[in-house]
Amino acid sequence: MWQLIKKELLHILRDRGLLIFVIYAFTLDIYIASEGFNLIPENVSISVYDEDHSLRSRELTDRIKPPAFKQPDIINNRQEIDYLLNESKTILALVIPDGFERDLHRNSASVQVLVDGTQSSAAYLSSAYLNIIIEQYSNDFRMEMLKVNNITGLPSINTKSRICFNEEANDKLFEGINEFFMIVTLIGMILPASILIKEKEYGTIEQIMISPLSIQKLLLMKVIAASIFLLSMIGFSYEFVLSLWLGFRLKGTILEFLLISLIYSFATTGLAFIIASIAKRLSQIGLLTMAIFAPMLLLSGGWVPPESLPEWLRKLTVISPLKYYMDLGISLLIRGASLDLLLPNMIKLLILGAIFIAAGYFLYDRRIIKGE
Amino acid sequence: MAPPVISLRNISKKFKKVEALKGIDLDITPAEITGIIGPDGAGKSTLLKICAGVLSFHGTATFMNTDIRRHPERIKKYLSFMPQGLGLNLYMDLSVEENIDFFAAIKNVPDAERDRLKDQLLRATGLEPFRARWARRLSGGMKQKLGICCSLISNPEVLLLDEPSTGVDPLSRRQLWEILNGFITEKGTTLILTTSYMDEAERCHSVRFIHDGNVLFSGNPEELMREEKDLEDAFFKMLLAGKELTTYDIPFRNNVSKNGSIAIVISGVSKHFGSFKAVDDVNLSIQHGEIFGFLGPNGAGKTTLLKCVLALYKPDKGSIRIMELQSGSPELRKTVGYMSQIFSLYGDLTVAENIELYGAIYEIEKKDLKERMQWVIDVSHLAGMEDTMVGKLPLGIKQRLALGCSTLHLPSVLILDEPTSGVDPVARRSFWQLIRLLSDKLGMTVIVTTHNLVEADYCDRIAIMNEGKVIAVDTPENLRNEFIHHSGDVYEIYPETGLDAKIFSERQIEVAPFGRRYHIWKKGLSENEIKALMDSHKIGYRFIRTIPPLMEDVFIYFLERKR
Repeated sequence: MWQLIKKELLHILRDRGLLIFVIYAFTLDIYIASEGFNLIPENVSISVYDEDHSLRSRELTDRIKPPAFKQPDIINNRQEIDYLLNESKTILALVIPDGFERDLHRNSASVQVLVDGTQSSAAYLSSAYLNIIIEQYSNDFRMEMLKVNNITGLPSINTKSRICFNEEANDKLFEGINEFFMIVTLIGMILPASILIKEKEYGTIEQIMISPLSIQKLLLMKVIAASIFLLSMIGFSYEFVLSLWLGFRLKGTILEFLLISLIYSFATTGLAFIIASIAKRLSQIGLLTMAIFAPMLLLSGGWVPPESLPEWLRKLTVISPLKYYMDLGISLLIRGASLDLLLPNMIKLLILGAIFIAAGYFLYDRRIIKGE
Repeated sequence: MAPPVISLRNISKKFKKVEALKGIDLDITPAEITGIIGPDGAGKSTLLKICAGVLSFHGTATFMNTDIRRHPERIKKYLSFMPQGLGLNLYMDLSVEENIDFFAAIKNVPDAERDRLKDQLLRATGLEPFRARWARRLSGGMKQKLGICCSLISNPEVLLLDEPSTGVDPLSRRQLWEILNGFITEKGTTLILTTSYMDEAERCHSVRFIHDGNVLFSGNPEELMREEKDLEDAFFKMLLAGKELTTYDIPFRNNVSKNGSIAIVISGVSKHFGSFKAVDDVNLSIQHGEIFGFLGPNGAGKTTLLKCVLALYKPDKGSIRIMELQSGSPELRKTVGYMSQIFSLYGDLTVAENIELYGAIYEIEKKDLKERMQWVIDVSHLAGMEDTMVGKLPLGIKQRLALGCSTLHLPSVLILDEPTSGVDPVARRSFWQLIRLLSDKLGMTVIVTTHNLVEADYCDRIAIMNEGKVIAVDTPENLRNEFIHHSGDVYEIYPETGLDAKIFSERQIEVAPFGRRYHIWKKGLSENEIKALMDSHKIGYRFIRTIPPLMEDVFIYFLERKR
């Protein structure tokens, strides 16, 4: 038995392309995703057309500064705004109209903000940020005026937020872990699928079929070997990439997380069987994996919160194993939930995994082993 | 002597790190058939593509005084090139006639000329009744004949054919050669072809034996065939270069004895794929310890039949019993060994790891495994290379290792599917020697398939297969004798000068040109009659001798008799 597991592990370790991809995915890719994705606007290019040329208009302009925005680009006519927006040279344009200062002193001044909506989320975020700056300025101006007139004691609400679980509100943590789950999913499908199809591509499967070794036993060894490799990579990435390199303070123990991942690997292995029965060649595995991964991701809540999905799609989220894995993983790693709290979802994931394995094996048996 | 049509000097070609050709000099004589022969991977196709001007290279190559590298487009109107693979140059959704018309159109053949030649070619190839059939729906042999028609329609000065008869049935092959020989004699076409069949090389006027990217021999087959009966023997000796073929022994014994009893019975087996009858009502029995060969072209149903025996396919009709057990019985799994066409070794495991794996699969005990592993390594010449990745081994060695792995558990029945395709004569002979040893010493029953008819003589008995049917079963000797009995002895004549084959055919004597020689036969024809005939036409000759009939002719004889 050990001979057979060793054989499968050697296949994996000697497939240089696969190995490089797996190592990259579990290290650099997670690092880049975590460091690179940023939900707070940074270095947004902005242009300001100041018609007023007053003290107040300059004060407002001065508040727009890095790191959220680039140093504003001061322009001198309206046509230039159109040009810059059309050429995507600026995302935001602030127009401070003539008489801004005068109107401000008369209680109500307005400015115009033009936004390039092509990249809707970036546009939304950065214009909201600009709104806050303008609001803050208008607030400060009001306070200044009140001070000048010696009025104090006006009522106001002061918000005090406390963030639980991810105390630093570190979106690197969420992004990094999110990416980590996706990588586990991808490799969890690609790895078993490719060792399943290789046997067919080499033509060695026939040799096994006529030998005393039962094909089911061989498949089991393949699955065990793939799981051993996958879990070692998960453990490695948890310790060295998430904890050490990215410096995340993860809750829950590594063993608890590996247990969840093991349960999840049943589901991905089932999907790998489906992929390996459909794929004609090794090269088709990547495409088929993407075809399964994309809807799984959409339904998982990793990119879009399930709450913002349409009703009928939201109902379908129960069949995405990634949803459970993400729920479990986030509960454990970020929220530090104990295993008994996680149990219901673990059981659901186990059931889903059993269904996928049964379906995948059925398909593989019919299409590959019986050769229909 | 006429100046060469194509002249290559110091040609080399590298594919990444692999040197396909290592500085080759080659001249092609006009109006002759030049055969480029050698095992798979020797560089034959590469050489042909360079002649056709479709591949870059180092060195100088001229085609009728044109520099091929500098002006590859200038030579194109003089030549036709047919790539390797059945029907690869054809358009599968065009009919036979449309395919020919297309090739005529791109070569600017006038319509009248095209129609005349087209009729002639279609008649000669027997494709006449299929004019309107789509190329997709032709059999392998028909596709190949159509491919050659398409190459010939432009009446090229030079015709380049890459493995034209691989996968073609003997009857189509004979027709192909008739057309080709006709073009050479009538139109003075120069023909260059590649082949890995030695019996085919004997049909060429001149041969170039390529081995490992070098030319080992360049000249007329007759030069080699004075001492040796055939080219296979000649090249075998050349490759060995005076050394002896290593012989082996088997240090362990099996308790199976050869006693002439029946090991395998195949009764009424048929297997269909859709409407295609791959195996059609096959009945035969194979004895214990016999080396039994299935001979036939690609697509004859050999592999399908083997897979039925192995229970990898379930036959639609009939039954197969092995050692008195139904095929597919779990008990048989330990007593049957199988080596598939693609060798079933793991390329990313080392030699030792592969052997150990098979040991584990067949649950061989440690002590036995150690002994047998040593034997496998010895016969595969792999001592000291136990840790080499199998994927990096040359074909011939891989083959022996695969044989070793499939016999590791000392099976009573060993099934080998095309074990020797694509190897050189030395590897082939040494492989067969090994099979013989397994049969003699361990009493293994060996079943082998081959599309190389030359290999018939290595078997105790053979079954000739065509289109799913077994058309004859017997020892190769008996089959030949039956041919001789009905068709007379086969004579090989080597005339001093060219002769008109009509002098034979008008006397109902079968005649087939083989380079500068002719094979002729007719029932009751004696050597004296031939000598008298030659003298009456005043044709001198170097020799007239009887030869054993070629398996290809035997094959066709039984095919026709069956019909």
